[in-house]
Amino acid sequence: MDIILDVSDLNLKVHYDDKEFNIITDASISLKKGEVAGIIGESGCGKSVFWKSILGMLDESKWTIEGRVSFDGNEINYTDESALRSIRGKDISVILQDPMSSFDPIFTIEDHFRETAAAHAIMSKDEVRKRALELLTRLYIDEPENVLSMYPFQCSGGMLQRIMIAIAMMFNPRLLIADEPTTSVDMTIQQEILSMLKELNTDSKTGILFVSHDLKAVESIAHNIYVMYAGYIVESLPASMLSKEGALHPYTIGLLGSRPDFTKNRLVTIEGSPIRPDERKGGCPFFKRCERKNPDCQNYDMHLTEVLPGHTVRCFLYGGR
Amino acid sequence: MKKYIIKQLIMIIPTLLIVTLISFLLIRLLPSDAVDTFLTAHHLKRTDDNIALVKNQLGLDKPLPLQYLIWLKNALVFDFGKSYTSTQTVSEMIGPAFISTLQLALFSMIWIVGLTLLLGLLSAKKPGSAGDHFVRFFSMFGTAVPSFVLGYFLIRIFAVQLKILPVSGKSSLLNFLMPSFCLALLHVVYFIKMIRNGMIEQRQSPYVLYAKVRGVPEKRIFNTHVLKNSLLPVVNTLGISIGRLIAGTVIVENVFAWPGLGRLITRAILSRDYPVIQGYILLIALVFCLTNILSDIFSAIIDPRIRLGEKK
Repeated sequence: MDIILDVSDLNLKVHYDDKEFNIITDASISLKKGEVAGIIGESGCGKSVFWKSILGMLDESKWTIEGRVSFDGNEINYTDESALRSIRGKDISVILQDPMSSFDPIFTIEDHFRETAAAHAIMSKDEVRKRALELLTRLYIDEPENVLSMYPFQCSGGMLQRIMIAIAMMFNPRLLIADEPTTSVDMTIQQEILSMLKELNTDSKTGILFVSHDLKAVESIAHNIYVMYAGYIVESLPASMLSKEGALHPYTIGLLGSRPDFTKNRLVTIEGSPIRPDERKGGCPFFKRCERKNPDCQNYDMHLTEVLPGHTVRCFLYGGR
Repeated sequence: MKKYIIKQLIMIIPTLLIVTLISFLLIRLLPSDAVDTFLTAHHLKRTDDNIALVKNQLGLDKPLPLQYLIWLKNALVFDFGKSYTSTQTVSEMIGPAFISTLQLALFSMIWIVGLTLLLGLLSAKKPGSAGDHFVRFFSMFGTAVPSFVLGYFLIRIFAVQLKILPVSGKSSLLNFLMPSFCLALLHVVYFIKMIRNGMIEQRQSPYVLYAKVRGVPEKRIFNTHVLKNSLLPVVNTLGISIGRLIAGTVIVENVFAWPGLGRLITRAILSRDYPVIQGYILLIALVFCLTNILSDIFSAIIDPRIRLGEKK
């Protein structure tokens, strides 16, 4: 079993106004070769910061980062900026959520390919072009030759999202981080993007870290799911167990309940909104919104309990002493 | 784009007609009339006979609409009339003055581009740094100090005390330095702000994040993506500011005794020299129209979104 990505006990704190706020607490994730891990949670729970910290992209003057991240068996050295840079886009690629504004408007699609290539390898124009055409064809883009000479504003959102995946696959990365790749494209394209990612995952054995608030999308692609709330991974479980019967944490069950469903008359939601870092006190951060709260939850230390192999939860109901 | 430019070129005609008509009427609203100044300028006595004669000669006895039409008819064949106060024709007076002012404006352009790039980058590269504070002080100074104060201040230092630059006139290249700097300063301040805000904004943009995650070196991200995108609006505005430079020389030219349009028009207005004022306004209006079109063309060259049209 080779583990590609192993994050253990990651802690992130941000400094703001001379105060420190915990953004991510004791997060651990491990991803095997060719596996898809889904991170799910509402906006503002720390999903994006999580992957940015793995890639060493947070400004160290504002952030304190603790913990260990191993990639492909080697611990990533976050003090070596040039080593980090050579990992980004080559060994670990990222696709972002807003393809329409993620491309530089005054550069062509080919320029973007070329720039990515130049960042990691010495390749001639023709080599880059050949590789780009190959990738675009693989992602079912019609007339790839024309597309290369287009500017981003001439492409549709779905097309740009696929181009983004194509650029990400340039150097056959071992890990692909997908940050909400289905959020800003319409329903039919969402399916398309998901099936393409699945294809890449099975064909190229590319590990995928799929970050999303779209439960359905995560469920359909991930092998393991990490549920994040207020910077804690409150539950992690195999995707096969993600159901109202299999999941344990009240937040996970709340998320499952708030899925739109044609059999229900009304959409059930989790009351309230995610807690802000500056509102945090001790105990469980989900306390206020929890349906099964109990006065002791406010003193809970949020430690992790392994209920089954591969299924962990941070909840007083399952781990309180 | 071609269609757009042709349309803009055609639009110049009605623009000029409206501008000249309005200015024609406005000039005639000025208190004290041209006949008086004409008489004084030509050392004639202010008798009823003389007044009638001059009025008749200058065509001022005709009804206003007719006066305008006569002016327009002559202007169409590039005859803008004779100055009331000198023996020269309007073209003979405005031509050389326009050249000097244009030279001054182009020289100012060098200051503007150079200083804007230098100081804009200095401040935007690291907001909050010492360089940034210096540039902000410079900007505040540039906005607060009127150009005539700055002009006399510079003359005092560089011409009177250090004696390294000539005081006034236009006899050598060194003469350009001070007036063009004074003329440029306000524009420089404006563009620095634009570049600084643009860069700070561009840095937060998703394509910078995307370039980072692709492993593009920080330096390249800044020098190509951030810089080019924040320069787009600057280049666009730069074209328009040529017009403003040419039309905005009145104070600077008077401070430095520069033989340009600014000084010419001041004198013409004071002496109610109608033909010169009319000619000047026509010229400035034309300059504004042309620089607008030029900057549109230039923007289209550097920005594909304008060149190829945003997708509908």
